[in-house]
Amino acid sequence: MAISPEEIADALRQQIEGFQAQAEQANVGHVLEIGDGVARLSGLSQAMAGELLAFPHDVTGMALNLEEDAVGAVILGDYLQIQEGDEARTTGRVAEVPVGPELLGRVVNAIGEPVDGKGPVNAMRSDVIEKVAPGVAQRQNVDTPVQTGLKAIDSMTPIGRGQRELIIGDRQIGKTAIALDTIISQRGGDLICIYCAIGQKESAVAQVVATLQEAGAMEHTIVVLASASEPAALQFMAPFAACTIGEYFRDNGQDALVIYDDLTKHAWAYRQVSLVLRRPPGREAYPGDVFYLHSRLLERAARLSDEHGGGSLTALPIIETQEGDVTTYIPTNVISITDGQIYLEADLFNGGIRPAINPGISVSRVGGDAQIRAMKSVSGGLRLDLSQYRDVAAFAQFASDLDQATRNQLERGQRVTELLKQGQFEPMDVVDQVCVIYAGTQGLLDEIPLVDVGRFEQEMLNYLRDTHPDLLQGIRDSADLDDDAEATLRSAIQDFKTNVFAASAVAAG
Amino acid sequence: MRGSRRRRASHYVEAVMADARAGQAWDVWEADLDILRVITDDDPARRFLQSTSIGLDDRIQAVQRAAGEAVSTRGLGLLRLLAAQREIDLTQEIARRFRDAADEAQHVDRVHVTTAAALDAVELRDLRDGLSAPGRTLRLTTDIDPALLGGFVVRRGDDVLDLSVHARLQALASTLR
Repeated sequence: MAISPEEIADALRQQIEGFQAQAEQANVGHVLEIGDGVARLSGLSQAMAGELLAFPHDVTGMALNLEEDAVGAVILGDYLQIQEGDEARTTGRVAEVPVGPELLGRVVNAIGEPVDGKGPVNAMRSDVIEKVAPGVAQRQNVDTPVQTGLKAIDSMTPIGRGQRELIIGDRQIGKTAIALDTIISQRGGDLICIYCAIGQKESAVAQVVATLQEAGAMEHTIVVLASASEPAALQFMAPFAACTIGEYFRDNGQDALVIYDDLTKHAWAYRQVSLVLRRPPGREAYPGDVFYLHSRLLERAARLSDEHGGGSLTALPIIETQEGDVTTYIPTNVISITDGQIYLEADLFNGGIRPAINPGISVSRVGGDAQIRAMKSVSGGLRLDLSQYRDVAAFAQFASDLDQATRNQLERGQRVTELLKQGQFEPMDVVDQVCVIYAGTQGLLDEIPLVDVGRFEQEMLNYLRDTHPDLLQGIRDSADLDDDAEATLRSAIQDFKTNVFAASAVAAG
Repeated sequence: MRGSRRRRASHYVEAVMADARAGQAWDVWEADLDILRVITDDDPARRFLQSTSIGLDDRIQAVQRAAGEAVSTRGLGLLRLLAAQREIDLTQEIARRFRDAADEAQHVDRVHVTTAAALDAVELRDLRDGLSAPGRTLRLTTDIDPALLGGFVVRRGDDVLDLSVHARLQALASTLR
C-alpha cells in the first residue's frame, strides 16, 4: 500500500515535534595522517579504548591505540572521504550492533547494517560488540547435543551446546559445507544459527545465502558479512558482532550457534590493522595479542546455568591450513583454545571420502556428554573399528596373504568408512544415524558388497520408516536404545537384509 | 640513541619550564615560542636553520635581525641549542607542550568561543562569568562563524560543547534519517 504525502508529512511533523536536542559535549581531535583505513589523530585526550569516533561525512571510526598525545583509530567506512586536518569527535559510545529476533533471515554487515536489500532491520535493541565472557559461576556443563546431521561428526566427534569445536583443513575440502550442513540440519529445531563470513568473496557468500534459502534454513539463520572488499577493520569486528548477536539469544534462555568462517582471515585482518597502527609485530608479523583476540572471542561461547536462563552459545570456528600444516601460529592457537577439532584431510577428500573427516585426529573434548544415549551406545565401537582399520590397512598394502581376522577388520573398516560418507547438504536425522551406525558397527553390513553399502543404507532407512515407525519414534522419544529396542532394530535390519535387499539384488541382477 | 621525539621534546620543555618558573617569565617564553613556532613552520626558514653550510652564529644572527625585539635572548638561546643539536624539528612540539604545561602551572583555562554573530559587551561578560571557574584564570578568545546559524560553540582544549543551531539541525537530520 502506498503512503500518501500527508502521512509522510504527519510522520515528519511528529518526529520534529518530539525531537529534543541535547547540548552536544564531545572531546575532539584532528586527523594527523590517514591511510589504509587507519587514522592517527591528535587531541582526543578523553577517548576510551574501543570508543566510536565521529568523522566528517558521517564516517565512523573506532579508537584502538591510545597513546600519550595521539590516538590511532580504524575507519569503519569510506576512509577516502577523510582528509588530514579533519575534526573527529568522541561519541561516548563503543561499537554496537542491533540484536534480536528481527535479524533472523537477514544478511547484515559488521556494524549490523542490512546488506541484503530487504530494507531496515528494525531491531528494538542493540548491544556492544566487545563483552566479557560469562564467568565460571554462570556456566554449567555442556550436556545437550548440537545435531549436525553428519554421521561422522555426531557419532565420533559430537558437538555439545555451548562447546567450541574447531573445523580445520585445507582450502576447498568441505569446511564451509560442514557448517552449512549443520545450519540446514537445524530446520524446525530450536537452535538459532549465525553464519559469520570473514574476508570471503561476496560471490561465495551469495552462494551460501542462496543455499540456505533453497534449503529453507534462512528462517533460523542470520548472516554477518565482512567480505574481502571491506576494510580490514570491519573484517576484524565481524566475528565479535556475530558473537554479540548470538549472545542475545543465549542470554534470553535460547540456544544459538555461531560459525566463524574463517578465523585465519580474521587474524590476517587483525594483523593488517595492527601493523598499520604501528603495533610491534611478533611471530609471522602478527601482533602480540592475537591469541587473546581469539581466546576472548571463543570464550564467549558458553552454556549458562539454569539460574541464568540455561541458554547456550556454541561456536564453530573455521581455520584454513596450508598443505595440511596445523603447526603454524594461528591453527595452534585456536586448537589450544577450542574444546576439540574436526580435522579435514585433502587426501580423504580426493579419495572420495566426504565429509573428509580424519577420525583419528578429530576429537571432541566434551565427548559423549553431548550425545543422546542411543547414539552413545551404538557409536562406542566405531572409532575403535576405524582406528584398527587404518592400522591394518596401512600394513595390508604390503602383505600378500592376510589371516581371516585381519581380512575381517579390513572388510568392516571399509564398510564403516563407506557408511560414513554423506552427500553435501543432506543432513541426516539423528535416529536414522543411530540405525545406520548400529548396522555398521554390529557387522550387519559385512556381507553387503562395498559398492552397495550406500544403497543398502538408503533402502534400509526407507524400510524401517515404512515397517517400524513405532521403533523409530520410540528411539526419538526416549533418546535411548534399550535392550528391547535394540533387539527389534537388529531383527528388522536382518529382516530387511535377507528378505528385501537380497531379493532386490537378485531381481536386479 | 636519541630516544623518541616526545621524550626529547619533553626534556627541552622541562628546562624551559624551570627557567620560566624561576624568572616568572611565563609570558616571555610563551611569546618567544609562538614566534619560533611560526619561523620553523615556514619551510625555507626551517631549511635555513637546519643548514650545515652556514655557520651556527650566522644563522642565529639572521633570525635575530629578522625578528628584532620580538624574540628575547632566552628564545634565541633555545633556538641556538636546537640548531646546534639538529633538533629544529622539535620546536612545534616544544611550543605546544610548553603552553599546556604553563597553563597547568599557572591555573589558566584557555577557552575559545565561536558564535554565529558578534557578541556585545554584556553577552561577553555573561559568557566570561559563566565560563570562569574559582581559582583559575580564564583566557577567552572569540570568533564568528555564520555557518553556526545561531547559538555558540565552546572549546577548551580537546573538549567541545556545541550549543549551535547548526548542530541541533544536524542531530534532527540524523534522527529523521
